[in-house]
Parts: sequence; C-alpha cells; structure tokens
Amino acid sequence: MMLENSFWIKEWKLLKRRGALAFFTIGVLLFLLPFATVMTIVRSDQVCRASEYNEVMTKLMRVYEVNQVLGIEHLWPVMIIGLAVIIGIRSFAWLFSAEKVDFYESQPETRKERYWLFYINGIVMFVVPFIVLYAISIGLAFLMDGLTKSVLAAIIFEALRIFGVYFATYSLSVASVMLTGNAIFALCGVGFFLCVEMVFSFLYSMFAGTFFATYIWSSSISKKIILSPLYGYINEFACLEVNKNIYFGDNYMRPKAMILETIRELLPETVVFFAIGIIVMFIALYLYQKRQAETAGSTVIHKPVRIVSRLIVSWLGALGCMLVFMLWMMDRSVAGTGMMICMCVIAAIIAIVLSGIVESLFEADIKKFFKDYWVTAAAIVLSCVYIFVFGLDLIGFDSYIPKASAVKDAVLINDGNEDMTYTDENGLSDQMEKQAYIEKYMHITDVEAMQKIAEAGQSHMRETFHSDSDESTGWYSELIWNMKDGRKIHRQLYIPYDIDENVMDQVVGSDGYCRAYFPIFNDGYFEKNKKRYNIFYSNGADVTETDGEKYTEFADAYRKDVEENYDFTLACDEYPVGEINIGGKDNWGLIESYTVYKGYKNTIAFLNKNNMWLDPIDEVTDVTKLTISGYIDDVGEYRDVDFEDPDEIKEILKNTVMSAYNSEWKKASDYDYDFSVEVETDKRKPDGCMTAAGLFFRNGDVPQDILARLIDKGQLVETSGDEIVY
Amino acid sequence: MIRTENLVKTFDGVKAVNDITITLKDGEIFGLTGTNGAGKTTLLRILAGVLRQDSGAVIIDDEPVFDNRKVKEKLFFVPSDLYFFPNSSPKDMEEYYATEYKNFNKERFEKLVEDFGLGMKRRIQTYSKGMKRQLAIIIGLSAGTKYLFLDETFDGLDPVMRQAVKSLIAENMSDYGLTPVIASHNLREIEDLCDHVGLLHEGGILLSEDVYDMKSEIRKLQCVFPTDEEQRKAEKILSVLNCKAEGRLRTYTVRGTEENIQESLKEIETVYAEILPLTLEEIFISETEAAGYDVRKLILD
Repeated sequence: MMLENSFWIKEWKLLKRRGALAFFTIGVLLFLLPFATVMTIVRSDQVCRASEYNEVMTKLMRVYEVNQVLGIEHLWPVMIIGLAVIIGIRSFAWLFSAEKVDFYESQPETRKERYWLFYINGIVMFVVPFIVLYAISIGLAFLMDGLTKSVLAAIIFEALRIFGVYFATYSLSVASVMLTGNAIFALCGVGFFLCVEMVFSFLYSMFAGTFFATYIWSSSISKKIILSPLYGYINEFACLEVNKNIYFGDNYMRPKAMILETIRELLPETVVFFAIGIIVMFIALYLYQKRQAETAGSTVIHKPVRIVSRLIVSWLGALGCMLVFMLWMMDRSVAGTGMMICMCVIAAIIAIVLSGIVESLFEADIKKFFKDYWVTAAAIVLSCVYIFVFGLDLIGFDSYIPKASAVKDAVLINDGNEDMTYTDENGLSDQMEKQAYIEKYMHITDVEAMQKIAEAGQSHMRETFHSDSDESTGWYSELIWNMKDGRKIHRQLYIPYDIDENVMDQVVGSDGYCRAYFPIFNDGYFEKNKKRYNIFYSNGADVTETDGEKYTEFADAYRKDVEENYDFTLACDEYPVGEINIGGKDNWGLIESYTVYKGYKNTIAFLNKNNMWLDPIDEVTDVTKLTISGYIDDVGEYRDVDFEDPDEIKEILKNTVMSAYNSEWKKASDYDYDFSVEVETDKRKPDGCMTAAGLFFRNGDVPQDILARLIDKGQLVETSGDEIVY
Repeated sequence: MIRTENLVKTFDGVKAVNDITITLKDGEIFGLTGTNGAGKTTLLRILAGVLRQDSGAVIIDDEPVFDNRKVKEKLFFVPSDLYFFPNSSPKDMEEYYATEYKNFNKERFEKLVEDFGLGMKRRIQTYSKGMKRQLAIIIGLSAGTKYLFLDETFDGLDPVMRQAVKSLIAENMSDYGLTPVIASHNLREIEDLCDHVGLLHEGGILLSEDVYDMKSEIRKLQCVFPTDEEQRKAEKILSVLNCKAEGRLRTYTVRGTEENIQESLKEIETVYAEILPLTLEEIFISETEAAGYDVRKLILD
C-alpha cells in the first residue's frame, strides 16, 4: 500500500492516463531528432554525390547538416514552445471543469502535493523522450560520420538550451492556467506572456525609429536580457543571423573556437530561461494554492490581472494602430504636432473599442462594454503620453550624452566604405561584417572628445532629420557607448563637415580607433594564408605586383605608417597616391585594399624595395591614351571621349585624383563623380590583377573644355540604369 | 464529528452559505435538504474540502478540512456531476482510488461491481447515468473512509437500486462505522434514511434537528371552532406556522409536541380537533413558507 501511494508510482499512473499526449510528444521529438538527423545526412550525401564533392567536403557537409538539425542554428525551438504550451495547459486543464475540480480537490492530497504531481509529470513527459531521442540522434550522427567534437559540444549545449526554452514556456503556461478559468483564455494568457515583451520592443523600435533622429534600428536586435522564451529565442536567432559571419562565415567550417564563442554568447540567455522557469514555477504554485475552486469555467479569475491585461491590450492595440497610421503616412511630417494630435484621436478610438471588447469577453456579456471605463481612460492617456514623449522627445533621447565617469569606452563606425575585409585574429571565419568587427575591437578611451563629437553629430542629425534635401552635409556614423555597467548605448550621428578637426583627430588618430578600423592590426588570417595571395599596387593607371610571401614585411610597414600618420586631417584632406590590394592567386578575387598616402614612408619604401612603386597619377608621363566618361545633362546621356595628345593628357592629369574608397572621412563633395577617367599606359598589367581605385576629378576642378568635347565629339556609352556598362 | 461554525461562502456578491453553524455526529446519517439554490451543494463541497469558505470554520475530528490531507483521507465525496477518466473501466478507477485511499477495499469493490452487474472491464462511457451513479456510490462505499458525502445520490436510480443503496449504506454504517451526509431534494428518501436533517434556505439553515424530534415537534392540527373568537384565541395561543381554511375546517401546522398542543387545546373550545403527524415534505413546505418561500405564490403569479 505504501508503495502504491508513492509519488513516482502516482507519476507513472498519471503518465499512463495521459498516454495520448505522451505519444504525441514522442512523435514530435522522433520527427525532429533522429528522423531529421538521418534524412538530412542522407540528403546531404546525395547532393554531395551529385556535385562530385570529395570525401572531406562530404564529411564537412554532413557535420554542417547535423549542426543545422541538432546544434545551435536550428529552427525548431518554436516547435518546442508549442509543445510546452500544449503540455502545460493540458496538465492543469482539469481546473477549468467543475466536475474535475470536485473529483481532484476532494482527493486526500494537499494542493501542493497535487501541483507537484501534475507539474513534474509535464516535465517528465518531455524530458525523458527528449534525452533518449537526442542521445539516439547523436549516436546516429556518429555512426553516419557526421559528428566532430566541437559540434557534439554545440549539440549538447543546444539540448540544454532547448530544455531551458521548454521549461520556461511550460512554467508560463501553467501560470497562465492558474490565472484563468478556461482553455481559450489560458492560451491567450500564454500568448500574452510570450509576446508582450516582443510587442513592446517592436513598438518602441518603430516609434523610436520614426521620431528619434539618432535611433539605430539594428540596436533593437542587439544582445540584451529578455524574459520571454519565445522572444529570447527569436532575438538570439536574429543576432546569430545578423552576426553570422562572426561565427560561421561563408563556408561550412564549424571549428571549436567558433562553437565555444557562440556558446558563451548564448549562455546568459539560457540561464535566464532556467531562472524564468524556476521563478514562475513557484509563482504558479502560489497561485494554485490561493485559487478558488469555483472559478472553473470563468475567464480571468483575478480582478487585478483583468485590469492590467485589459489596459495593456488596449494600450498596445492603440499604439499598433498609430503605427499603421504612421507607416501609411510614410513621411517625416508624421512628427508634426498636428499629426500627433490626429494620432491621439485614433488611439483614443482604438483604445475604447479594444478595451470594451476585452471587458465584454472577460464578462461574456456585451453589455459590460463600458464597465470600468477608467481603465479605458487610462489606456487613452498612456497612448497619448507615449506619442508625445516620442514626438517631442521628452526623455531627451536625441540629446543624450552619458556622463564620462559612467563610460568605459566608445566605438565610432562610419557608415561609408564597405570595401575592407575584416577577419578575426583567431581565424574563426574568412570574413566578418564590418559593424560586428569594429564593435568588437574598437575601444576609444578619449571619452571627452567622443562627447564633443556626439554633441555635434546628434545636433546635426536632429536638424536634418526632417529635411528632404539630398545634399550631403556630413558623415553618417554609428556611436556606441560601452558603459561600465555592461550596457551598450547606440546612437546614429550625422557628423557635420564643419566639425572641429582637432577633436576628430583626437579620436580618429587614436590607437583605439586605428587598431579596429584597419584590419591589418588583426590579420592573423592573412599571415596564415599569405601563400594564397599576391600583393598588387596601383596608382590608378598601372598595376605592379609581388608575391604574398612579402605580406609580413608589407603589413609591418603599413601598420607603422598608420600609427605615425593616420588621423582625421589626413583622411579628410589628402588624396591618396596609390592603393595596395591583396588578391587571391586561385580565384583572382580582390580580398583587401589599403590606401597609400604621400606620407606613408615605410610603405613607399617597401614598394620601392620590391620594385612596385609607381608615380602618383598627376606625375605619370607614359600615358598613351586617356578616356573621360561623363554624364551630359543637356542631352541626358553618358558619353566618353578619348585624348591622345600628350599635352592635353598632362593637363587633364593635373586635376585627376585617385578615389579613396578606403577613406571614410572624405567628403562626398570632394570628387566630381559625374566624370571618370581611364588611363592607358604602355606598361603591362599583371594577369589577374584587380584594383578598387578609380580616377576622378576634384570637385570644381573639371577642365572647362572637357564638357564641350564630350558634347561635341563624345561617343554614347552603354548604361544600365545609372551605371556605365564597361 | 463534523462541525461548522458561522460558515459563510459568497459567489459574486450572493451569499450561497450564510452563517451556518451545525454539528454532525458520528454514526448518524445527516440529510441536507432545501429549496433550489439553498446552498446544499455548496455546503457539501465546503465540507469535502473542495471549496474554501470565506469565513467561519469547518472542523472534522478537531481539524480544519481545507487542504488537509489527513482529514481528507477520512472522507469521500460523491458529487452530483460525476467524473471518470476518459476510456476508463471500473478496474482502472479501482487502481486509481487504491493509490489515493489507503484503506480502499478492492475485494469489496469488485464484489459490489459484479453484484450490481456493472462489469469490471466495461468502459464507463458506455454506462447509463444511473449506472455511473451506482459505480460512484460503490467506489465511495469501498474507499474505507469514515465519512461519505453524497450529493443528489438517488437521482437517476431506479426504486430497486435505491433500496439496494440504502441497504449498503446501512451495512457500511454498522460494519465499518461510516457516517454518511446526504444532500437531496428527495424528502421521502431523506425521511426514510436519515437520522438528522438540515433544512437550508437561501444559504441559511432554517432548522437542524433529529428527524424524530422534528416530526414530534411540529404537528398538523385540524380544527373546527364554534366561533371566530375561539379561532382567534387558538391562533394566539398556538405556535402556528401556517393555516389552510376549507369552509369552517382549519388545518394548522403547529410547532410543539402532541402533549403541548393538547394542553393548549384545553383552553380553547372546539367543535372538532385532531392532531396528526406531518411528513418531512409537509414540514419542509411549512418551514420554508414561514421563511417567505411561498410555492403557491409562485404558481399563482
């Protein structure tokens, strides 16, 4: 008898009674785990056979696929969330029926004992098949040669994370049952818990992006602590996608360091899932112990919960409708006061309707539409306050500059120039996104200078935010304050062209800036693979080359030149004399570009030593032909014209400068991009060379007769849209 | 012993149980009856520990009931709306209850199930309403508890089954010391079975007495008076609950023992007077009419 009454015997009997749900759970996991593992490996092998991949590549693909199914990158935690909701609600759904309440509550058990019996049953129902099927899947992956140690680590971590997602969602579902009286409202409750944070965040991002000039959209998916397992999973996935190159690059390699890095990134959120699960588990127990049995069949059983949920739903609904209205308007005039008042009227109407509908549903009586109208009034007031706080920036978002004492360091990322290739020094990947790389490696410690730049940039951003002008008057940049308390504060800046150059020099010329901006300070990847590359030098007309084995020597020289010379004044005011490019031997692709300035003595010495040096374009004398292409407004077409007269060529070259794609601090107005210059000399260009350099005229320095020549003698140039087809 | 002290339970502003204080002694059958919505089921659910009272106390064997495992091991509740596990058979329910109730008597249960022709392995969902009720009662009688709470027990049972159930209850009382508490509209059954009756009306207890005492303390008196004056005198002296007139014949429901009434009659001149016993139904109607629940008014209006 004692044995029959034991907790685990009761658990087993309860599990047997809930056999249908248990079988459903097993079925879902069977499909997601071992079945999916086998199917993806088989499919991968078929694709590899059809593509005639070798054994190494085939194994690589298998490992990649196994990681997709069982490891960190998979998509099916959403299904686990669904499973947790179903099991969580089903476990305690008897509370919704008066007959079942009479049945269970009259049994000789305390509520606490009954709670743990049902709660743990829902955990066991998932965990046991989950562990078994995960182990089987790992075994199958191993037997089918689709596993490496690092991917195994990822899989084990992911299993833990999946359980965390399940645990948190399951607890929230149980808590939702405790707060409600029927299954539909319980489902709505879980949906509320899982989504409300995401909805708040989304609405905040949309409002901030519309009203705050300095708001950056990508900051909305930055890493932060999130309570909802659904939102947490989605946000982690979005972050992994956005920063995919940090971890996985463009190929299928999944090396150990990369996996460990990802695990470190995901660990805090995983801990949060477990914390949520535990805390809510006890809250749900408390709610059950306080629950009145007669609430079976009602809607939301606690009046404060009704009030709060009604308020939040009507408030968010009003904000959502205002958002739709803003998107429909689709221009910056939405920020005007008149428009804000109009939005408040819309919000009021929506709040009244939603609030009334929610109350009617709670009471199951349409006549209760206007009951507790003060809740509706509160929703209206909140919506209006929200719109005016954003519209008038009452929280000072656009003018916020943190105190220096609270800042650890800062990051400044210019929006221009995407041509440099960033790789991690550990060789985690071929390439990283510029944004992610600089954010990781830049540490500007001159906070005072950054504050001045922030003030100027934010002010200019505010002034131009509502302007329709196309004219460029500054540099768009992103500023990230890394605070001492761990927070990251992002702001969009529009640094004006007339900013104090000395302040910019302090930042742009600093070690903290240069070491992150120039990937040459973190070039372990290139060092390791230099045999695969050639080094090219171009002055815009010709190209010279040397073997990539010289990379170390070049890199040392260039780093020294950057440390000694590079600052804002150089980058802004000077035009380069040439450009060094790193290109692949096998595929002739351009991998990296480095601008060379007149003052880069070490780099120029390297070039001279290796017979690579070429005179700057305005000093070149062996041009055989020069072609100018330009857009003629009067006739509305692109034309080009050739010059072969040496004197004319010399005159034209005096005003010709090399583009500085790698200089993010050049003004858009420094070049006249309506005209481009192509130069031919009698020097042979190396096979497979490429250069990012182009030749243009300085703005305002286009020779007067060029236009006349183009109109008079110019040949029509084939274009595709606004682009010349070469 | 079961005791309630100033028990109150409110649903949405309506007092379903209004300040009830009663005592149920061990070894007696307590019958709970009353008008519709009187609070019988609510009271029973509170006694069974299903509902938590808003105020007051429910004490069973000197311990509060709600959320008390030790007390609940002593009681079994058979509600009016029954629940069995989906696709289950009596065998499955036996397995379940054997884990919940330490003293569950499997042999007795199986014997009763067979005796009632229910079939141990037959799916309960194929049973009629009456058969389900029989099964629920059998489970309750086999649970081996000290108290058995039965809500609307005899609904759906045919007369033969009713007799069988009554016999079983009596047998359990004598053999196992069971104390049943039965809530029912069926006053005939309560009158036959119960030792003590509680009459509920609008959440409150109108009376709670031994059946014998109740019947002996309220009588029907049929009289014919020679004059109106004698009639008025009689109505003053006697504790009249209600009165029906058919010509000169007056039929009174009078509170008091036969002896007391006869004593009172000595002071009054009557042409004809006869003291008759009341059925429980007549007592019920009289008491509730006195409390303002007039059935005739409902019919006529």
